Amino acid sequence: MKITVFILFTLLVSVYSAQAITVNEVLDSMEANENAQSARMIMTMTVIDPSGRETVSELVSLSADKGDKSLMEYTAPAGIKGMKILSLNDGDDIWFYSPRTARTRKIASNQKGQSVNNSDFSYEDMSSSDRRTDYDCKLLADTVINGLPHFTIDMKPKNSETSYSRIIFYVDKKTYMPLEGRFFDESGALWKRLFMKNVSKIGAYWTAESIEMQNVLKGSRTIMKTGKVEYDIPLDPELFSERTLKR
Amino acid sequence: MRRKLFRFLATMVTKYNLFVLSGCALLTLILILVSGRLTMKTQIAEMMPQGIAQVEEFMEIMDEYKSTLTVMIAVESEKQDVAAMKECAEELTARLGGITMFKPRNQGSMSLRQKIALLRNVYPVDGVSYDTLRLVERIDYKVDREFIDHSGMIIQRTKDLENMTAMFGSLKLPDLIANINDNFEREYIEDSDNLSTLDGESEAVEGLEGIRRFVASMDDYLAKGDSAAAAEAVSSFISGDDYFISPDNTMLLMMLQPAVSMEEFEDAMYLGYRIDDTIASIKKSHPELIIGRSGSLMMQIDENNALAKDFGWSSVAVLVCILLLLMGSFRSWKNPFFSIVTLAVAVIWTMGLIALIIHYINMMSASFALILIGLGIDFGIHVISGVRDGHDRGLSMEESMFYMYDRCGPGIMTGALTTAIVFFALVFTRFEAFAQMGVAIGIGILTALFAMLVLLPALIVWDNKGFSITGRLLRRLGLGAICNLWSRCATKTHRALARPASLLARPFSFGFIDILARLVSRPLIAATVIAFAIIAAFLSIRSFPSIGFEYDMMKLEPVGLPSVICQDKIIEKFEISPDFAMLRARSIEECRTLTERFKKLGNRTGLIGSIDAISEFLPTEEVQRANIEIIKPFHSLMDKLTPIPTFTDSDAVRLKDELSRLHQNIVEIGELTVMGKGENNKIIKKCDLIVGKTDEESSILKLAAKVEPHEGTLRSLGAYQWIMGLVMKPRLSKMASIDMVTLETLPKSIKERYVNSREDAFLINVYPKKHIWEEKQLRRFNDATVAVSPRITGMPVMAMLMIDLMKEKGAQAVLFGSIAIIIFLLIDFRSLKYTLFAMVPLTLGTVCMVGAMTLLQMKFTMVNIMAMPLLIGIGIDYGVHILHRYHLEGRAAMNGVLPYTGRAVLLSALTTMMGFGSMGIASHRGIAGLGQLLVLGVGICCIASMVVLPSMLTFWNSMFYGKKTGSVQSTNNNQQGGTV
Repeated sequence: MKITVFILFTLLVSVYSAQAITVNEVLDSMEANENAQSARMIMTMTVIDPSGRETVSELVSLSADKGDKSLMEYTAPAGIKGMKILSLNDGDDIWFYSPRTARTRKIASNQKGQSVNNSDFSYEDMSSSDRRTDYDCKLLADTVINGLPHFTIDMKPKNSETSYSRIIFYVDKKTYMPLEGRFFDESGALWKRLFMKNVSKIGAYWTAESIEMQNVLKGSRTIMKTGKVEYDIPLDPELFSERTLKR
Repeated sequence: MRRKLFRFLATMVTKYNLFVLSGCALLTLILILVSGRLTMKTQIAEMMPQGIAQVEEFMEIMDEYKSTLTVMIAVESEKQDVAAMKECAEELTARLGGITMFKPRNQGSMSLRQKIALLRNVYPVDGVSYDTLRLVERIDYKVDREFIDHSGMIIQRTKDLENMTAMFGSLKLPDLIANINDNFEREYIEDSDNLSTLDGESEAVEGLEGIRRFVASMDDYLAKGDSAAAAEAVSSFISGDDYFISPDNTMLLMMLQPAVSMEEFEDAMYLGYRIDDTIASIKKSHPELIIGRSGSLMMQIDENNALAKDFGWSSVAVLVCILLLLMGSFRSWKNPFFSIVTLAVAVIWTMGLIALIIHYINMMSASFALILIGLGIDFGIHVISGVRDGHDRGLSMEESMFYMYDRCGPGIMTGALTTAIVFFALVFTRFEAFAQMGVAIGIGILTALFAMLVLLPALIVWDNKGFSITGRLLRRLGLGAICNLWSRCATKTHRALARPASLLARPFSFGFIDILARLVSRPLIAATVIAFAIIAAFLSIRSFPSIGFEYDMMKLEPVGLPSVICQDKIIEKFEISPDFAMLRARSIEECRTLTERFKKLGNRTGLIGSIDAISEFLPTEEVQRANIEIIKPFHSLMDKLTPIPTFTDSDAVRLKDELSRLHQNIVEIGELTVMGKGENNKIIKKCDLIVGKTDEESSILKLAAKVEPHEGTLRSLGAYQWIMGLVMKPRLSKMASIDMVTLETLPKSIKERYVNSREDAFLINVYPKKHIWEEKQLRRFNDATVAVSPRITGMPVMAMLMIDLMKEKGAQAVLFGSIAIIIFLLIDFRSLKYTLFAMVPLTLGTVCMVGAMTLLQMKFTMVNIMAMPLLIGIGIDYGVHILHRYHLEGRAAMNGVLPYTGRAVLLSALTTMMGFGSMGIASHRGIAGLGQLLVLGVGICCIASMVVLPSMLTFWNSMFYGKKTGSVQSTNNNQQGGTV
């Protein structure tokens, strides 16, 4: 009898503790990991089109204010070398710098959904916006991926400004990294799939060495590989101003 | 029952030989006449199962618009000679538009002489009246200038119209360039999202081309003062180019709509060949241009040409090789010759029977003759082999015939029936393409069986004995000359061929078969063979998962097919595929909604290159009313403006500044599109033409450098500005019409492209961005477009349905065929053991064939997958023949089985492999793959029948019966055979 009571008690405690975590807590943990105060990354982006043809570009990415400001500068190939994209206010203000004309241009915020350098990532995918502002988030039952249970976050947009009708993230319980994501288009069809691979801890942050976005509808995929990564480094705030883009 | 039937046949061909031959001749004559009624249906839709909505939609669109056969003609100039391309397009339109065909009226009531004359392409034939048939409905190659000049503003989207009116709000050159700059910055730089949409992209390309021509004309005017060129450039800047020209100005595209559909196959093919003739003749007057054509009709023409090249002489060569092989093997020329004659008769009979029973053939069942030749000759080989076997045993011709029927008849009949059943079983797939082919080939096999069991023996007997009867009869009728002629010919042919035949006989006597028979009769060797077979099967099965499937159907076409080359160029230059999807909207409102949804889909997925619908010419009343409010003040402004001939110093300074700004804007537009769409997009190509890759290459900066406040330059710029004003003012005033556009007021040239005769359906064409013949790409395009409307049809949908059906029904065909064979063999052998033994060569052959594919790095394709059901039909025969003979000869009597039936099986396999081998070297890579796979499969089935199956029988006997029993029984049977 005592054993039965003990088992029931244990079960009750474990069920209670499993339900205790809320979607906000999971998102908080996710965002705490994602939003380093500042970061500098050297990245290689490989776009693989539906016929298997690869296009490789290299860039340096800087971010500050927990990702609120970011600056990307392309270093290869020659066709886009020197082009810079400055994103401020969480992607609401985007500036483009052309090395050939040496001009800086503000581009409309509605291009958040546009592809970044012909890849399967959009500016929206790359911005670190507070998911709770744009989406209604729900925690669904855990999903087992590669034998491990993952939190399942179901996100539906609050307004029509986002590109997706629904996003599902599968968040690793240990690292709080969204190791898989599914993005649905306005008709409800699966549009993109996100995979984060080779996760390791750099400083205080879990970082994926390879982030792959598959465009299911188009048949293309983009692999973003991070090279040298530095977090919480001192960065001149002036770097993130439209005026200094020309430097 | 079967024994009685064979005895009856033997009696007929020996005792009533002339009667049988006359009957066959009469039957041939009747069926030749009947086969004239056989028609061919080539539409892919004809092969689809009933009740698929998309197929029905396809058929209806085909009836109403004939759009499914669109021929795309591409005129290419590597030197960007746009004027030459336009001139060539005009010539092509004049010549192609006039293609007609003289079609004989009332073909049914023509005399035989007239029919023969028509077949010989004689024109005109006496007494035949003709209809003149127009074969080209229309050629779409430029916009309706009159309509655009009148309604060019009211049909625009309101936002675009606002931009346009803002841009053309002044007749001063610096103002115009400044307005262009403002427009570019607002539309494309600050809102570069506009560059990524389908509409935005094409508008940007068109706008940039207008600027290119405008800048070039200004530069030209400063150098040469060519007023006409300046006026034309300004005109095209306002309303775009009339022609469909690629962004890099190297290709002009024309779309020819035939007035015939694939239903009228001969007419459509005639049109295809005439298009090629016309292009070839126009090429002579434009040697600097490349003229190509594409589309399903032209692809069909190219495939026909390739197949004719592949199978023309090679078929004759294969037939000669088969004849030589048989001559060598049978040491006679007459009997192999008779078997080929019988085969030809069997094909004629089959055509007649198909005409009577099915009435038509489709693209797949049209292959019946080829398959029949491959299979039918096998029956003949067994007949000749049986007769020769009897002759070798010292029997007379009559006795040899009875012996042949007795010994080979059951095997031939079972083999033929199993093959026929496999093909008839295709009916149960309920897939018209397979069912039709199955019935046609099934009928053909039964007909070939009948011909080989009746006509061939009758001819052999007639040659041996019946000739004298015929001779006597002919002589009595006073036709002895025929007799003498035949006799002389036969003697001479015999003399001529006797030596080659005896030379050929040496390698084809297949002496190794006797040794093989002895070897496989030894249990130890038999066990070793079985072990090897098991290992081969095991390794083959293990390799199954590594076999790939070729999804790119273009890789099945011959290399260098002109239509494929042209298609690739069109896709590269225009980003549209010649094979497109279609949909009928039930109302103009639905048309607008669907078009917008397809555009959104295209923007989101990048799968769609262009959407062509009437809604582009017919905005809603609401939009038109909003446009009128913009047009009215613009019209008043135009009335007030006057062309300005003077150009001041400050104008020059401003123009120089604005040109520099224009250069920078175009550079940035190009860079933004590279950022968003990659380095291979239509906009960057156009930008590069204007501003180059470096500032030194920029045509705008070169022009800006020439704009200096010098008197001569200012005079020239003033004159250019004056011409510009003279062209712009009346042109824009005319375009600023506020007459509402309705369906009724749309010009006929536009309406007939989209609206059906009842005006209750509106065609929407959705062009894929890339070619659809790569299956994954095709599936993505179809899945995405079907999500917008499940009614969507066209070549992409039809191809997808066909692929899915081929895969699903192909697997069903293999399953049904295998079940049918097992049931039939169980009935025929009345023994599970023999049935399973009979299946061994086929199963082993199929498994090892697939295994060998891995070794040879072959892939399955949409075409060679057909080898599976075909191999079941062909491969089963070999084991059946061996087992039937084995059954008659008795257990362990391999010495009596392999030297006779084994030789016939080997010959059958070799002739079949020769036939398929000729396919294997075809330039059509799909057919070549099918041929190669069948050669492999038939070869392995033959080896399995002659080595593995006898080994298994030996092993079985040694295990359960002991060797000697069989030998005794064998001898008894041989003696029985001899007394027949």
